[in-house]
Amino acid sequence: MNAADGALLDAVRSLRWPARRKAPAGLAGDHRSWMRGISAEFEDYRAYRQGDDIGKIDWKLLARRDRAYIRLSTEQTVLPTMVVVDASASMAYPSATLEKWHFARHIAIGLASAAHNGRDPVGVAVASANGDGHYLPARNRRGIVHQILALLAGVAPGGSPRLAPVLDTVARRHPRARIAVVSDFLGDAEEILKQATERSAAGREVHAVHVIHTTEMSPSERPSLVVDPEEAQLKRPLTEYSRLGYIENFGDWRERLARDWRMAGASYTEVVTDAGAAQAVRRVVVPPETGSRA
Amino acid sequence: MIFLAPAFLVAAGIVAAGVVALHFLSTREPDTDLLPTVRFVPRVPVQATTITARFTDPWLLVLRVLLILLLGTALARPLIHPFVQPVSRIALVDVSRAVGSPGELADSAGSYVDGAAAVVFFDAGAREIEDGASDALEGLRDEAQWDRASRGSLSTALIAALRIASRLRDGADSLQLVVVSPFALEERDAATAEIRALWPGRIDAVRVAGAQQQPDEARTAERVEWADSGATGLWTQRETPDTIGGVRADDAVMVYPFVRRWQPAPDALESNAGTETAGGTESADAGETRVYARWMDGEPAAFERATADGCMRSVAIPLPTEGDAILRPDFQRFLAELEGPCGEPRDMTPLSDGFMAAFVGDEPLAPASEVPRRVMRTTPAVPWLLGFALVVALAELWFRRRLATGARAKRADEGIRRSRAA
Repeated sequence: MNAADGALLDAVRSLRWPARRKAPAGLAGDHRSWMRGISAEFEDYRAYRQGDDIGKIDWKLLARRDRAYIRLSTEQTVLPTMVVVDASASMAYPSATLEKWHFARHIAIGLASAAHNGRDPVGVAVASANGDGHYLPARNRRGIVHQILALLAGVAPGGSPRLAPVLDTVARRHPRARIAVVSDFLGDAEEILKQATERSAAGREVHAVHVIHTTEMSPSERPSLVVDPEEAQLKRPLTEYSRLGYIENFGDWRERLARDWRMAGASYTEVVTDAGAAQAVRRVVVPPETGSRA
Repeated sequence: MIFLAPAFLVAAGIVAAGVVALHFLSTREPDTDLLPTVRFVPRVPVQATTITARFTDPWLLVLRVLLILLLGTALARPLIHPFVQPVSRIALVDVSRAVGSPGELADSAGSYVDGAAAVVFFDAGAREIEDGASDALEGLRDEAQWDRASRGSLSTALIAALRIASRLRDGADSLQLVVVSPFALEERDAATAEIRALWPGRIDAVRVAGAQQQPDEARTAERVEWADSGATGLWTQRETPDTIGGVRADDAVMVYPFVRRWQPAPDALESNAGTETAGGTESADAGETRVYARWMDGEPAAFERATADGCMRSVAIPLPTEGDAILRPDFQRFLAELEGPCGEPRDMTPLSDGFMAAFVGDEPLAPASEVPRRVMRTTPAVPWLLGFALVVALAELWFRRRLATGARAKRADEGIRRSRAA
């Protein structure tokens, strides 16, 4: 762990990541709490139906009303969180500093730390070119965040790995987990969105964290021939004229991407490398209407 | 070396300077950078033009500048003279019937013919002797070679001299014109003085003995017949009459809108055995038919046929019937010419001293710079320059293709290396 990693962990130490969706209402007693000793908060009464747990009957209310009612309560339960990280060649930018990759790595670590701070199990899966050796299932053990940090530190971004199969694997292995996708969405974005739509429609909480480098937002004004790192044949001249067209096209695409993810029922957060990783993490975990909180 | 059209050389220099300036502009592919979001960059041509501080493609620049200069020099028509001599001599030698002694002519002309830049023998026409002028001059001693029927023309000789002078002007500082002739009266015509004035300097006249005047040569016309009389087979009627603006008989000219209804019969011309003189008439032996008058377009208008007692003139010129044309002095002069003596008049009287003084002049030799330059479409150097330009153009094309091929191969190699690194 380097100094930047340490600074990030310090910055998000008090950050929590509340669930944005409630568990679906069902029969009382179906959702078991992962944590022992957590008190249930009273929420409402419901008339007793045949089959309900007799232990839930409020006897005092029965004495007053001469009718049986059971207590409904909101159970505190844990929400496993899986962070899926894109390690394709487009994330290795600029090639000299890998600033975009380190920023994505820090976001992933920050999200994992925020989830772990709320005692949620957290894990990570990396879509990389050298196979599926970068996977940690969601766990709540102490030190899981450092494990995740160590795993991400050993990843060298490159190649053109597809993110959708990794997302699918994570979703199947963790049916109830919250999923956060940290990527630049320059690869198989359509397939990822399709899976996210399905998972979100099934009630799962899905987050898209769109990582963008400052230079991608506003390229240099020096005329140059720009080449796609994942597709060497794709090269275009970046001139004064084409730069304006690029900014417009890129902005339109980001708008469409944000709209599509939000329409899919997922949350979409665009983070640029010139902002701090801690600030970016805070934007993801804290809903916009509630503002920031410790 | 001089240039007949130096403006082209200046233009070639300007264009070459422009090409040099253009080679400071570098049109090439710009530096390559990685950008993951390159797909959003609009498609535009993959080249950027920048101004560099040094030449690009120096060898290509050399070939292009050389090509432009060669073309400009070719269009400028350079004239290369190994050296310019102080004086070039043009010798005009009279070989007409006015010469009395061929031997004396050959003796007098010999020193001028030797070393002359051009030698012209003239009588009614002028012909330049390009090779063996001295031998040709020696051949004149043979009386049998003389055409005693040919009348000399100073005007014709001077015109030939002016043309030759235009050709020689660039190889000499001054031009000397020498005329070896008896200078008979019949050799002068109305245009002689004006043509003489075109020569910008002195003329060296070498007078030789003239031929004796034949006192009884003049014969009067026996009769004049008109074409529409059909008396002779010299004329055929035109299918469609046309008009012509004038007619000329020797020095007599009549300007009038004549309606031509007759044209020469084909056999009338074939019977003619004479040579044409500068006056437009032709000399003919007795019995021969010669053209006596011509329309302004050169078609014969009257024939003269020698007879035993004189000659007969057959005229296809209609008399003016309207206006006062027949009262005009030029018609009277023309009519007098028609009724004049048969055959060409021969007047061997020597030209007057006053004429000779004016003819010779008192100026120095003619400066070559004052002689008009002959209009030359090409000079000897032009085909060579164009040939070299063609070779350079092919070399430029080959070199440019070679550079383009090399650049493409280089970019392909870079692409392969980059894709392997990825």
